[in-house]
This record gives sequence, structure tokens and C-alpha cells, in this order.
Amino acid sequence: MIGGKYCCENIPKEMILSDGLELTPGNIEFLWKIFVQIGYCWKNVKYESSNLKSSWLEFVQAKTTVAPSYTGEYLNAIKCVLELINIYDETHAFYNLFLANGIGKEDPKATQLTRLAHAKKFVINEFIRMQVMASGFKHFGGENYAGYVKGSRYSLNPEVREFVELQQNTYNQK
Amino acid sequence: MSKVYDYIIVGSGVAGITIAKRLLEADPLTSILILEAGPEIPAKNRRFWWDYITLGKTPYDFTYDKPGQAPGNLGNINFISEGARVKAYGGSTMHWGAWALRFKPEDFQLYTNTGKGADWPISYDELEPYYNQAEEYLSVCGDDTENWAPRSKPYPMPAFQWTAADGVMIKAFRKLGIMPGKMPVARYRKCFTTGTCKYCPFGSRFSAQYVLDELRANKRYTNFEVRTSCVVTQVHTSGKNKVESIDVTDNRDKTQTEKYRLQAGRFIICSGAYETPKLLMKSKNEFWKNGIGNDHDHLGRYLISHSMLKVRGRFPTNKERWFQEYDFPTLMSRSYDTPADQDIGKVFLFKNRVLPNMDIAQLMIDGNTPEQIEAVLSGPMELELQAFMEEKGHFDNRLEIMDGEPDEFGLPLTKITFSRTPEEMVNTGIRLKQMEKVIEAMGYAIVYSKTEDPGGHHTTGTCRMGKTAADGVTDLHMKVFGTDNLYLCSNGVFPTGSAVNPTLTLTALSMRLADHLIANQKS
Repeated sequence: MIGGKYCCENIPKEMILSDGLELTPGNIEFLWKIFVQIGYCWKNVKYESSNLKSSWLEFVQAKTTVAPSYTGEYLNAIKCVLELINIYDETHAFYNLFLANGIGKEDPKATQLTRLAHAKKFVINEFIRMQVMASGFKHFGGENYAGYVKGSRYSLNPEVREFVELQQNTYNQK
Repeated sequence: MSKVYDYIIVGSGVAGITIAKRLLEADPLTSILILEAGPEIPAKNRRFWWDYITLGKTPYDFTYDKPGQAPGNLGNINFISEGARVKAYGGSTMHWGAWALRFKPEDFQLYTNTGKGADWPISYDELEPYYNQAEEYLSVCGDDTENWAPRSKPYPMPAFQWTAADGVMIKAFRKLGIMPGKMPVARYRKCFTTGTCKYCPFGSRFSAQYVLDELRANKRYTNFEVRTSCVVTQVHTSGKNKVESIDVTDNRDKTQTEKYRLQAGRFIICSGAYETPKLLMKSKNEFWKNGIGNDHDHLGRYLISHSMLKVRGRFPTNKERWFQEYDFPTLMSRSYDTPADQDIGKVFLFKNRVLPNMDIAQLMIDGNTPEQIEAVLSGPMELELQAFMEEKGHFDNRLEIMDGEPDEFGLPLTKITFSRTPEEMVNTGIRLKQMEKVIEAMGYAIVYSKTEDPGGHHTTGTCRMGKTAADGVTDLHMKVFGTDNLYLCSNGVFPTGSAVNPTLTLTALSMRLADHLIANQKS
């Protein structure tokens, strides 16, 4: 598994407690940086990830202000990523984190997880899901995806790739 | 025990709240108490929604039957209850897919037409005006040109269009003389097609919760009350005919359970096809030695499900990278849901709602590179044709109360005996062959062709209507035979299950019952 002493430390697999913890503006900006790197890695952001920032902030707020709070997990992920950057440099740190992290499949019987596995499970994986549903799926060809707020079904643009009688299995160009 | 309500309604799903709404609209001062065994789970909650997106969990998952709470292995096939019903404020409309289809005229005359199953004591024509109203109430989006069942009014909302991924199956349907149709689904105008219909962030799919919230907030309805976490444990009669009171275990205060007895002029049990018969079975007394309404041993019997048939096909490539972009199917057919199909069992065909499924996020989470993901997306693709097959009620297919501690909401445990006859197994095989032809006509290789174990999602028949007490638990107005003031309104009263989802029909029946009660009240 990648990482140094902090990333490889084993801790209980339950969510890290958030009692008394708060995210600073700097913490939030660093988490945003992690989120943006997802688009760079998979090249699935057509324009700027900043188009998604308000949605992402609302997501982070919902995850940190309602129990169970993710604040402890977010702070842990920040420390993990900082350690990876220290070890590998920034470009390789994110490449390794996303594509070559060496974290195996979680053993359901295990009582502990490494700090990096925590970061992957509670932060990175959820950020990926959020990024894909918020628009990252479009790069792969769809018009809609579970969770994507496509807009009114009465808009002029179709909500999905529709079946068209005379041009079957092609885009509806209405 | 001083207050006597006009109505006590047990259960807060679509049936109970539809009746309450209509009664209150007729007379805002009607005193109605709705008792719900389950908890209140907030709707349109952002954190719950984000958890659904990221974790795939809905906030009501914990209310489902758990393993051991409703074993269904007493017949020759396992009947599955886990995941089938939500025990909470709003009932199973919290999780329903909102497929809203009418039964067809022949569904009300199954016994007359085939000599099997049962007839309804009412006809399609009697229910048709209520189907119109139910479609408006639930905001059903459908295609008026299809006319699968006779209708005197158009759908209130236009249908969702077929998706591009439906195309290959549409062509195969047509090649085989099967008419493709658009799935009627209940979605409000404000639908933003997020595809997270199991927990909509905007409340765009009908849920009984929203109606309850509106009723509670309406200041004209001063005598309307809902109590959650209150389980009804017994129904009491004074003599044979009159239901006098019910016993309630009130669990709202987590530190202290309270037990009390409540009275009403009329009682309406709307607790679904499981709990409704169980409550009556439990309510034995000197007048009803086998439970209220059970002199002829109908309670819990004639349990009907839908046999779920599946044929999956595989194509070597997916050049267009299709995936099902809605969370509901858009393609269906009722071409084998006709009077001629009744004898062996009608089927309602529809394309699997999640295939072709490309979980792009999971591919990324698993560490696939962009190039690897592209290869998966344009690689082999699977599509599946599914069907609900009509079942006929059998006396020995039943649910009963199981001994043991009640579940976490105080509801008694359930045990289910369910068997399929050799003839039914042959008939499902005939239907599977028909479905396989569709997959073959698509040019796909068959991956599997199978009948699933039955499940409790669309359970009907367990306290069915009948023309007389000898063939049913309730009369045509869903009043329990032999009583003056006890009504049942759940899928359990359906004498037949048809081949389609039951909720629209239940909603129509609820409206009809409310009108009957109002008319009866006035007279």
C-alpha cells in the first residue's frame, strides 16, 4: 500500500469521531483540491470543475453538519493526502491515490482499517460518486445519470438519449 | 377513554391517507385518528439524499422485514418478504416505483372466465371513474393512444419517452407482433428526472407522506391527528356486529411505553396485505372465536404474489455506450395481458429498469483508467426482459402469525406458506419461452431465463372481497361481513392480483370507499 507512517496506521474501521472538530476554510479548500483532481485523473470534466463547486459545498455541508458527521474523516483524508504529496510529489500522489493505491478489498470481518483506507472509503469514493453524478458521467456518453438534476422534463432538451422512430438508436436532435 | 373519534384508521399508507383526505374534504370537522406502527422518516432531506447517492442507502431501509421476521419457506417455494414493505409514516409509498397501471375488465372476472381463482364483487366499469381520479391524484404520466384498458379520460400527464436503449427491444417486439407501450408512472410536473426516485430530493413522485404533511398542516382540519410509533394490538367488539374499540401500544416516548384503548364510530384497517389480516386474526373473542371476520377461515389465505420472470440477453458490443438513464423502465407491453391469456396466467412485460447498467463511478472507484472504462462501456452489453405473471389464489397459500417476540415496531411476526402447482410451473415455462423469442429476435445471446422466488411487494388476496361471507372477508364496500362498522382497505382485499402493480387500483378503491362512507354518513 502507498503512503507513509500516517497513511499506514491501523485504526478502528468505524467512522472517525468528529466530536469537537470543525473544518476550517483552508481544510475545505484542500478537500476541494482533492475533488478537482478526480476530473484531471479521469479526464471527465468538460469545462471547469468550479461549475460544480456550489453543489459540492452543499454536499460537504450536509455530510459534516448532520450526524454522523464526516468531519473527522475529512481531516484524516487531508493528512493522508498531505503525506502522499510529501512522499511522491503532487502529480504522482494523486495518480497513486486514485489508480494505484494498493488498498485491497475490505475484509468484512476486519475490525481495523488503515488511515488511507478510511480516506478512500469515506472521502475519495464518495467524492467520485458525487463528481460522476454531478456531470462527470457526460464524458462517457449519457444525457442523464442517477442523481443528476437534469432539469424540468418539459424543457426543450431531452432528459435522456431517446428512441426516435425513424432514426432508431440515434440521438434525438429535437 | 372519553373521546370517540368518527374514524380511526390503522396504517398511514396510500389507502388510509386517501380515505382521510376525502373524508376531510367532505367535512373538515370530521374527527379522524391515523395510527401508524412505524416511525416518521423525513422526506426531501438533503443529507438522506446525499447518503442515497454515495452509499446507496435509503433512510427507510431499517424498517424492512429482517431475516427471521417473516420466513416464507413453509411451501414448495421460498416467499421473500425482506425489502418488500416499508413500515413507516407514508407506508410503502416511500419506496414504490410508482408504476401506475389499471387492472383490465377481465381481472374482475377471473373465476367466471377460467374456473380458477376468484371474481370481484365489483366490475371494472364501477371502478373506472375512480381510476380517472386516482390517476389525477397520483399524477400518472401515460400514453392515451395505447388503450390497454378502457378509459373515459386521458392521462393527466404525458408519458415519458422510450430511451434509446429501448430501441432494440421495441424492434423485436414489433417483429413478433407484440405491441410496445410506454410505462405509466406517477411523477409530478416538478419532476427533474434525477433518477433517484426511491428518495426524491424534490418530492416529485407521489408519497403518502406529502399528503399527510398537507393534511396535518391544514388549519381547517382541527380534528385530524396522526400518531406514529403507535401499534394497534387488538380490535374489540361488543357483540358480533359492532366494533367498539382498539388497543394501542404507544411507543412515541422511547423511555416509556404507554398502553390505552380508543373508541370510534368506524374503524378502517389499512395496514397492508400482511398486517391487516394478522390484526383480525389476533382479535379473537367470544363472538369471533377464530378472529374477527374469520368464521369461514379466509383470513391470511389465498395469498397471491406476482411470479417474476426474467430473460437476460447479451450482445458483444455496445458501440453507442447505451445505459438506462432513468431509474424506471420506459418500455412495457400488455400484449399477453388479455382475456385469452387468463387461463395460463397473463403476463405484463417490461424492460429491466437498470440495464444496460454502467456504474461509471464504481469503475473509477475500482481504479480503472479512463481507457479501461471506455473499453468496458463499449464492450459487451446486457439487456433483460422481465414480466410479472398473474397468479391465482390458492386456499393453502397463506400467511399466519408466527410465535415469538414482536418486531421492533411491536408488530407480530409472520410466517408464510406458499407453493406453486406443477401446472403453474409449466405455465411459467411457456411464458419464458415467449420472452426468450424476444431476446433472440434482438440478436442477443440468452444469458439466463428464469422464474424468481415470489415476494411480498404486490401481495394481494389475504382478506379478499367476496359476494358473500362464504367466499370473502369483506363485502363489495370492503366492510367485514358480519360487522357494521369495520372496513378493510389494502391490497389484501383484492380477490385477484392481475399481472400489474396494485397501487393505482388500491387508490381507486380507497376513493370509492371514502365516497361510500360519506354517502352512508349523510343518509
